[in-house]
Amino acid sequence: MNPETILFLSNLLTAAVLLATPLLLAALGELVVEKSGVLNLGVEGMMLIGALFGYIAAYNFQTITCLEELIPGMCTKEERVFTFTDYLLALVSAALAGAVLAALFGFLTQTLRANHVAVGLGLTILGAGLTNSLGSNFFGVNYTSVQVADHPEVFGQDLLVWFSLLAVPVIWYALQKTRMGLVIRAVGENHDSAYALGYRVARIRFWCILFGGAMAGLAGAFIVLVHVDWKEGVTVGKGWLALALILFGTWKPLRVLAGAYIFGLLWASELRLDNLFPAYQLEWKTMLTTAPYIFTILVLVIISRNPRMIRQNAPASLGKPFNPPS
Amino acid sequence: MSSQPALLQTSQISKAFGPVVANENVDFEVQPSQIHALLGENGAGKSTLMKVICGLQQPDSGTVYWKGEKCTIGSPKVARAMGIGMVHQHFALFEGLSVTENIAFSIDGAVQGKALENQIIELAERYGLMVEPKRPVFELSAGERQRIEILRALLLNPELLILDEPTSVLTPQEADQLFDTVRKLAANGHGIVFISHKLKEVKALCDFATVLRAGRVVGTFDPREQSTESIAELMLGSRDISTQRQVRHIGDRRLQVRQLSITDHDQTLQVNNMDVHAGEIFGVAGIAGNGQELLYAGLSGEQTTSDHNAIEINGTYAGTLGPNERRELGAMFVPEERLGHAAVPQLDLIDNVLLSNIANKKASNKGIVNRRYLSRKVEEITTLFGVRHAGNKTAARNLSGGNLQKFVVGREIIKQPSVLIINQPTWGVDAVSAMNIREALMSLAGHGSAIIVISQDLDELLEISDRLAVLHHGTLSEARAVHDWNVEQLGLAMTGSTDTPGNAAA
Repeated sequence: MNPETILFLSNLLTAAVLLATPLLLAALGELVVEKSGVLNLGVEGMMLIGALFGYIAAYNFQTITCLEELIPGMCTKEERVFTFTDYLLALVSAALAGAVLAALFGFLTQTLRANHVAVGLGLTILGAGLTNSLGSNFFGVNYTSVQVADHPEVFGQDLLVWFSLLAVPVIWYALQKTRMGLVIRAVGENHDSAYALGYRVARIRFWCILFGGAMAGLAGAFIVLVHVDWKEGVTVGKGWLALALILFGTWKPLRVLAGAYIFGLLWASELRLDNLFPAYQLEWKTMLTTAPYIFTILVLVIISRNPRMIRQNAPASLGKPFNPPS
Repeated sequence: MSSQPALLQTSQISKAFGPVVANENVDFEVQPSQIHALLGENGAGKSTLMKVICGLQQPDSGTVYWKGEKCTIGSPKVARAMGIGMVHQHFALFEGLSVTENIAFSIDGAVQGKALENQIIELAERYGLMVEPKRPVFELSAGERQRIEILRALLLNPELLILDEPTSVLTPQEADQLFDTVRKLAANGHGIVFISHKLKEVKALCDFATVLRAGRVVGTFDPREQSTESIAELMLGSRDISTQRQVRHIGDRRLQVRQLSITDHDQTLQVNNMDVHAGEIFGVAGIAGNGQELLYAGLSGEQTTSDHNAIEINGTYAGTLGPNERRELGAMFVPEERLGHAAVPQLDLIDNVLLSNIANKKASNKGIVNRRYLSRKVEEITTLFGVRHAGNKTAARNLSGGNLQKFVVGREIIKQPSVLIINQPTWGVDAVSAMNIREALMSLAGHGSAIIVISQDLDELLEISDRLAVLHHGTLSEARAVHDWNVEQLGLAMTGSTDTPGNAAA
């Protein structure tokens, strides 16, 4: 292979990892939520809030030292240091922010038993609006002055990349092999029976919702801390794609992982191929941007022809209202 | 009493739900190693007694003794801890989970994974309860699901095991397997309560029986030493089969069924010969779960048959026709399930009237709905049948059970149908509403309609029917005039104890 091809492929893979990781994080969180029988369509909103709070935290935790002060009180040359600890604190902030928004969803759907779909959609709208207004309050209209320095990597990749990859087997094991996972799946499968057997359906679901929110928050933080700087609507619909990804992966963590990287590669190709085939630029772009959605539809068509697959993997009570007998 | 105390003893248990007395001073006793049959009609109070024993309900008065000691069973958890296990008639299983997972979920977390799987296999082998631990439940038959329920109960090591109508969902082969299991359990010292309607089974399996009727114990005996006839009579009691009734004029044949057989999943329906005439109420008796739903579906056209000539409505063959086409032939239908089948819960009364009047030009002409006409119909129905409602635009689900039942029955009756097929007309309806509905049906027959009433309420059928047939295990018996039946024959036919069920010979 000539060096150019190698460089191209390595760029492609790097870009794919950047695009796949937030998808994977958000999808894994929502997978647990859906396994417990809750459909939270607010992933996009929780990602946005996680992104904003992660960014604000990072901005505040980084140490800025002024190196040159020509005019008193106005720094003309500064050094920004963003340590690993600062980075971890920013991630925790992002996860907490996501979880707080998720808690609102949990309160409305579990305590007040509102409709999952309506509240989820509302959550996305709320997340977008809230981050737009808080963001412009915090950073001013022009964000360019606000920058977060790079942070250390772990084995050549961002910490969250490893975390997301590790989360795949951990979540699989937790769901399939532990009692906690069994309880979550049982609640998602048949909430009435689980309730009759003495399990607190709403409480179990609430914890799952919080977990999903924290994961979505991390996904948002990854986008703004690793990939691009904060701007309004920075998640560009990744939350929705994460929801599609769960269907694509038929509620299986490993398939969700595969799906996230397939989607990531497709998107990365879209960005890279411009250079290789300038003549086909527009056609390629359109095709590749829509590819994840077309893939998801194709997979849905295929799995819906196999009822056994659905019965075995889809949580039967997904999105259904639960009214415990009083 | 003998020196060894009974495993479980209830003394003078009473339980009432509002005005309905479910149990009245019930004494009930189970010994270790005993297979004790609990017999009674629907609503005789068997379930209530079992719920008290399982801690699901608290008695109004009376005492429960466990191994001779007085105890209070406050919750199912307490019951399980004491050693009382129950296998419910309707399984509470998680379809998407495997057999092992289902069992793991319902017992406490002490045993997990491989150890639990081994324990399940060991228990299954000991009692002949073949299961495959790794298979997901949705793939399993009713018999296999029941085995999971039994295993689930057995893993808690109960000393008393209650089986609530365990054979109602089983094939005869599966039932035989179950009996073997039950005998093994009893041989190991477990006390068994076996709730059933099927006297043949009880005679073959049980060594003691208690019969409940209207909430009271009416007999305790060894079922092997009693004739099926005498047990059946004890269950049903002495009924008034009155011959004094308003004589209706029986007219021409409106509905004819010949050799109708329908299979739906593992249920089958066989009706060899059934004629219903104008001015006649044709009753179909039978214990719940013997094919009433399928008979209704077959007659209403919700389940069609490939034999077009099997059903004839008003002189036209209708075997392959659907419900609306049968409506056009003059037949109207009232299903058992009020909410969701007879009426759409979320729709208002006007729309619900429209739904069974689609073919009516006055209700909808060229696709345009005449809500004013339908609103008048709602007024008519509610006034005529005394349906209490908060306006014509009330959603159907907001009506009480009795009022909604009067509404859905009235909706069909005011059309003065040539043939009316009605399933469980007064199920779960208060006494006054039930009386109104029965009177309305009789008056409709008096006006010359042919009516088929499928009901579990034998008293109701004896009161209103002209002729009566019994549905058992999906097969409809020959029809006889009501006064040609006696209680004993009815009991035998309903419990499947008679050897002449079919009407092929008739």
